[in-house]
Amino acid sequence: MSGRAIVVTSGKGGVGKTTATANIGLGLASQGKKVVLIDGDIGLRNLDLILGVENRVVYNIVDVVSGRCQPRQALVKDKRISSLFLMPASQIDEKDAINTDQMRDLSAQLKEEFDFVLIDCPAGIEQGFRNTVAAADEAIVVTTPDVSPVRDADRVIGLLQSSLGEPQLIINRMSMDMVKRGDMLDQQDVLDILAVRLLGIVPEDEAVVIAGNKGAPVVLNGGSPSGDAYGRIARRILGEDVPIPELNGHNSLAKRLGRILFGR
Amino acid sequence: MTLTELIQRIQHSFGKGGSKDEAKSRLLLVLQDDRLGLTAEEKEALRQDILEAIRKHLKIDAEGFTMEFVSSPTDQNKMHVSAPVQVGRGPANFSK
Repeated sequence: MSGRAIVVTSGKGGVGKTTATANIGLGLASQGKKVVLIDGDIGLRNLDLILGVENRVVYNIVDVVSGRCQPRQALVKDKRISSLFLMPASQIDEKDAINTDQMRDLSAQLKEEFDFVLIDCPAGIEQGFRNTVAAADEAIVVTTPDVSPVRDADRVIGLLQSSLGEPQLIINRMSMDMVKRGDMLDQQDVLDILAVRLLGIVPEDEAVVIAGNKGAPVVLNGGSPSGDAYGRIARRILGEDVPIPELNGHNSLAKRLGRILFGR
Repeated sequence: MTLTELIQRIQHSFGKGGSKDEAKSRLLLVLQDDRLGLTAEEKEALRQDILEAIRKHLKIDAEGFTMEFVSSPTDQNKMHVSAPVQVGRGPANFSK
């Protein structure tokens, strides 16, 4: 079997890469796929915490590439969905503890066994970025509809186009209220600027914070707007034609009149 | 409510006139520069070269000469040069 290796990247930190990786991974696994998540952020391990498996991490990716253990020994199996595994990052090593060839080899090895190898890329465009991109076949770029993440996303898209080809975009933390007021870039604005294919939109949602607190990603519990969005994203990755709900901030006539007469 | 306020509120109710328009135009502008990767000196040199090239053939108003890089969903990465040509009656105004 040769699975698909997908890097989740953004350029800018703090836009939700790790949350997206965890949710997409769980989403794919709940569709019956065998999925491994690689935490590529060496020295700043977080994916274990978001997934809620931090207490079961024994070995990590640096142990694997330096031959201290077998990949199988480092993988942490998810207790909720048995086809999901995590390859944790090291928290104590330097971020250049792994080189590009080692990362590429590890990914190739994991692709033999898994349908999907999802790689959570560190912020920035340095060595950690280059390593995770080299280990991937496809890329997902995450941005929020704010000026600096969009600018950094553009830079990353440029870098990806010369290596992996056209990435797909997730716009995270979209606030419908702000879009309706005209105070936030909407999906068409972001696409006009970045000119890439849209994979999905994840609305701003308190449930993401609560999920982080609990170590139980939103996609696991149906009903939250962000969890449903990640569920749809996972199905799109699997090739299903799932429409992206229009979130371009069109108000009803009554709401428009209300705003005109009574202000915001 | 003044008329201006009313117009603003109508615009807002359609998602227009908010701060996102500023965000979009600022981003499009800064990304043009990012994507070009030209320094300010290189841009100025290009500007001068184009200005000189046009001046060889036409009388233009150097004051009104502009060169800008624009991006839109339909035509990515275009350079717009605007040169006010001084045309009189009779034969074309070749400066040579």
